[in-house]
Amino acid sequence: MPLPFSFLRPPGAAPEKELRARCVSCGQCVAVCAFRCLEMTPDSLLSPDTPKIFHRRSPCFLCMKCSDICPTGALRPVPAEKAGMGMAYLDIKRCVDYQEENHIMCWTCYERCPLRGTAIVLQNGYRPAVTDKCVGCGVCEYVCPVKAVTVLPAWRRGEK
Amino acid sequence: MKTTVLFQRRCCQIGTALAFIAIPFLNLRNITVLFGNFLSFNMAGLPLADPLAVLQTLAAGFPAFVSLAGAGASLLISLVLGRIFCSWICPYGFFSEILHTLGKNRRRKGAALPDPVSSSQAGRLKNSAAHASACRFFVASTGMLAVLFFLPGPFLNQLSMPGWYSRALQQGIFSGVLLVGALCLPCMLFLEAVSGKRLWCRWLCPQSVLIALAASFPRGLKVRFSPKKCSCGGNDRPCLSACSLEINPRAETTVQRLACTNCGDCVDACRGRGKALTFSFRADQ
Repeated sequence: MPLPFSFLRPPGAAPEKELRARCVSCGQCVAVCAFRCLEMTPDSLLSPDTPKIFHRRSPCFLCMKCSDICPTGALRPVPAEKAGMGMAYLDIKRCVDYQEENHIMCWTCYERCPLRGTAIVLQNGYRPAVTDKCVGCGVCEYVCPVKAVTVLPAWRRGEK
Repeated sequence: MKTTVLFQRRCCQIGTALAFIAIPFLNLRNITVLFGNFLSFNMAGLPLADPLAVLQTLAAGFPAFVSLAGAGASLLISLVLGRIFCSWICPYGFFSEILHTLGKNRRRKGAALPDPVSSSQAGRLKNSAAHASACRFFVASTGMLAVLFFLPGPFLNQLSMPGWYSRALQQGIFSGVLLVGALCLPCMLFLEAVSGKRLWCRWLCPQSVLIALAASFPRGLKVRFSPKKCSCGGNDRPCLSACSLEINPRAETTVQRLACTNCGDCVDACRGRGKALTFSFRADQ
């Protein structure tokens, strides 16, 4: 179920509660982001701003500059494979590669995935599938022409 | 002619205020020599941080080496050079001072001479400086306790006026969004303009407390008074009426030291007189 204001935390983000305690809203992560996908927005009316990625508008391409630069440890330096931002889910009822009748090879998500070949693989050589190596950067959700991909943010899972 | 402290200070303040407009634009062009804001800043790899912001993350039990180093650097600067952040750098302080000066000039237009300050008034000012400092300490410590026990994040950062200034510019330039909370800055300036007092810097600013404590180190740069050179008698106290924070520069007490920002307005006022007030690292014998 796509959430209207779904957002991701930057790669290497500390658990949600710790991130909010550590982040001093200095915006250094936003300044170094090579793809301009980070935004500082308040979590509620009076709370300080924390970094977010509105991946439907511009996803994270895992350049990992933000997590290297964070001075307070709200984001930790990690390799791209351990970004831990969430997990993508592919709706095979929507994905055109899974529809027998139309004979289309889309592969857009597979080709754009920063961890191509590990996070998204081609099942049987032609059907994209998300593996547990997915870090939830949101690129596939952003590029999918039929909106068959949804990323479940890691912070949302931890909040339950 | 030698330039006044005020002139140098204004250049520095305007430069900083403009720099924090330019930095986000440079960042957008991928020039990241300088980035960050007044809460935490990165100067070509050298970290600088608001000590109170870092103290709050510490209080929550989450220390981080880089921000600790940044806070240490800020505290070291105020240890050596006094509270120059407040008077030479802080953009809120700059706006507040400009409004204060404009208000003072307008009020004084009728009077031919600056108001003489009686000694009872000087005593009252001393008390008022103590109250103002105490109030700032109270705000900062209450806030710290709240962060420690109730609040999930560093909420005192929401009371950082320079923080709001730089954050609003950052967000406006990076994402084209107006940070609504930053409106507290013009509101506070309006209150100061109406009252003719520097309310925030004197009474409320919690960020100034830690650097004021560091600046009270006796061997740092301070305005020193040598009574022998003082040529103003009686109620004629140009230094006292020059001070926008209503401190008595002639009294070198702890209260005055905690309130003084090393702005040098009193030094400028004294320059035409006996030059009894000077910046120095050690007390005059």
